[in-house]
Amino acid sequence: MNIDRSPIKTSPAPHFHSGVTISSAMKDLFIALLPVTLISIFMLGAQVLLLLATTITGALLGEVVARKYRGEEVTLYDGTALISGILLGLILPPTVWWAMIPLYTFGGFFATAIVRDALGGLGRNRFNPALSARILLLFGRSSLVYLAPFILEISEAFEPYLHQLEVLDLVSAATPLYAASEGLAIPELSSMLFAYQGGSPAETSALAVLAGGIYLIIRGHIKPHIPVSMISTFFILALIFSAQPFFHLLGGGLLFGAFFMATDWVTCPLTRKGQILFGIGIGILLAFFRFFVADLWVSPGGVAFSIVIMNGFVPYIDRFTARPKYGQQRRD
Amino acid sequence: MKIDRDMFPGVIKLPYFKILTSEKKISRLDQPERVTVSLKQHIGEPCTPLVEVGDRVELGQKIGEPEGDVSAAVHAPYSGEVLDIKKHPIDVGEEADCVIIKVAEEQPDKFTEQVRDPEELTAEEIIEIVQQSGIVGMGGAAFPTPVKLQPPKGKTIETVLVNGAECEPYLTVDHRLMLEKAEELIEGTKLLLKASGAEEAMIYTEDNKLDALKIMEEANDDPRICVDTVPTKYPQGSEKMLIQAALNKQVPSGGLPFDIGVLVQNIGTTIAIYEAVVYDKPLIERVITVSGQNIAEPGNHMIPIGTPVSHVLEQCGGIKSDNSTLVLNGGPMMGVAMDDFSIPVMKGTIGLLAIPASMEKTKKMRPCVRCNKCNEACPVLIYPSYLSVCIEEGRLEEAAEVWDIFDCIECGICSYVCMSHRPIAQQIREAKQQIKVIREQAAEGGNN
Repeated sequence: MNIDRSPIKTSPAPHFHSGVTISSAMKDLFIALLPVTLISIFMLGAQVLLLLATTITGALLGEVVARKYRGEEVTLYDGTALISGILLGLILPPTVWWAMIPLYTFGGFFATAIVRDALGGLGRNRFNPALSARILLLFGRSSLVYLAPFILEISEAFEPYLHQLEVLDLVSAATPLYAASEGLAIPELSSMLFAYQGGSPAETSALAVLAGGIYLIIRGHIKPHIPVSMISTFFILALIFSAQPFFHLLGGGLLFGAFFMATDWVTCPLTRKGQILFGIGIGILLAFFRFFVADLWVSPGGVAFSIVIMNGFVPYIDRFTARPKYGQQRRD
Repeated sequence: MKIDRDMFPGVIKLPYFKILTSEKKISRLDQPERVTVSLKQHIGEPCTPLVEVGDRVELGQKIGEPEGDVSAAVHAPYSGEVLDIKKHPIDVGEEADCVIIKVAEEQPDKFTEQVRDPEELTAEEIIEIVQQSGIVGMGGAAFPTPVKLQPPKGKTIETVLVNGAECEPYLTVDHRLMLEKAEELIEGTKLLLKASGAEEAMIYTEDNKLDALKIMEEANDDPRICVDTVPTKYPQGSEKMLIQAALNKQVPSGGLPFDIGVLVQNIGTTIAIYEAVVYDKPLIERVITVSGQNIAEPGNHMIPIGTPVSHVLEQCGGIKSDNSTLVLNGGPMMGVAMDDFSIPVMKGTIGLLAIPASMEKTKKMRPCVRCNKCNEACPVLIYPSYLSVCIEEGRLEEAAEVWDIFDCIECGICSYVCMSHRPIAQQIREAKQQIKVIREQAAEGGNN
């Protein structure tokens, strides 16, 4: 009987799998990030590559160190650390001095080693790693005095030599929001939409961000609930509190935050109702930071702060918005 | 009637592979040398044997008498001689008393002449015939049909749903039956209406079987019966999902379809009822799909109950691949992988598949990354991702109390979509057993 030709395997049902894995999803996320990355390289120059290289190195290093320390398997192949590094790189100011390289590398390290792996582990972290690292770096070098003084020492040791080197080409213009707050000329909306030379790499092209976001929705990795509720809430408040609502819609990290940061699976609600609440919450917080907190140290990080604050509420949002299961209520 | 097509969120498009057998007419295989007829073909109590070793049995002769309220008679699928009555595996990890019959070379030609006129029978008489014929649900669960036809006091059946959704990949049993036995199906549905006292009946198939819909519409001559389609999606053929798609109603959690006045019957069961009533033919054979990329000759076959799986596979050309193969009893989503082919075909066997093991795309289990794909796909709207994590961490009480583990219908779609390759469905199946054991122990402890 030729049944014996083939080795027979047994395993529990189901015996099919969709083939979508963490790595393939991260590949999709990578593709979604490509348009804005390429446009930012085109607009801001090679410094973006250097910036990304530092944050990615930091993020990969962070995973290796944290996992080794915790005795867990290092899984760089799944691409999650790489994506964290890219996400962080895209939201940092693009003007990289040599002396900032250790700082940004530490940012990437902080994202994966501390925020993700030490505070829960893959899939369990409460706060968005890239945004948390962005907030840390917002406080700049001063924060390092307390957190990791050795990094400052390293960069200071290098500084005399580095000063002799050419400073990287500093083409970046003032961020649109900064320009607005200083009463400088506001850039054309159309240039902010297609390609603008100011702010972080993620802010260079609203359309490229949108394209990436739509790609993620089409591929089924995110649902539109969070971006739509977050952007529309903010826009309505901008209509009320600002003379330039469209400018606020396109300026700053709102769009990038809405599609790539607030939708982070691990740190956003699972329920659809919860996702809408979450988006509304971020929109309100962001409007508060943009329109009522004048301090510049908060304004550039407004999106990061709003999302990370709402991250903290996710377990409660999920609990209170749990959907009724099948057969829980009769519908006839 | 308005059909709410989005009542359950699953939009997962499975690879179906039904084309392997959907054009293949139902045929018969050569008879095996011996058959292994289990005395427990169904959910409920096993039968007591009515024959002894050495007895001659006639085709269709009752050989097992049902015990208790939930049970179904067992009949001889062939004429022959009883060789043995002994414990024999009937499924992976399950044994039961089986009557082993040596199949006689000459078989009588029976059950082809009409012996009764369905018009003249009362509901009670139909149920009695169904009872005597050992008919059980032929969609997989094998629940004794007479029990379903008689709801407990105070409950009435208003609607009969005949389930031709057949949502599992590969399987084309119901599809072929709808095409080839549409008239018997309509007549069987009329019998179900009469037996259950319902006023309306609906036959539903998924909209990937429109040829079957057309033939059934042509065969349908009863205004009480409506034939229609539901969207093709997994697990549309689950009783609860079909009720929702067809009637826009939900079976209450922990309840049964008759709680909302619905009786769901499988296509094969409905035809078996017709044949039992008109030809006095007990349930001694059924159609199964033998398919999969690794089977030499896929097809749909009428197979007598008790035929060993090895015989069926052999008759279908055997397994043709050199790569590792999964032989499945049932579909790829809910079927059980087996390696013992002495297991017989049962009343609830819907298909035998030989598929490449690579279809599972097995990888190492990773932590849940909350991607939400399982929660979005779950047809009963529970949260498989939370269940999976809870079970992994041993928080079984929480799985039961907070995350509704007992509402799970084990359709397997959560494991299918899990990008962390977590065996969520398997975790849930095992945890359900464990929780039941824990609760029983707790109950016993309380009594002492």
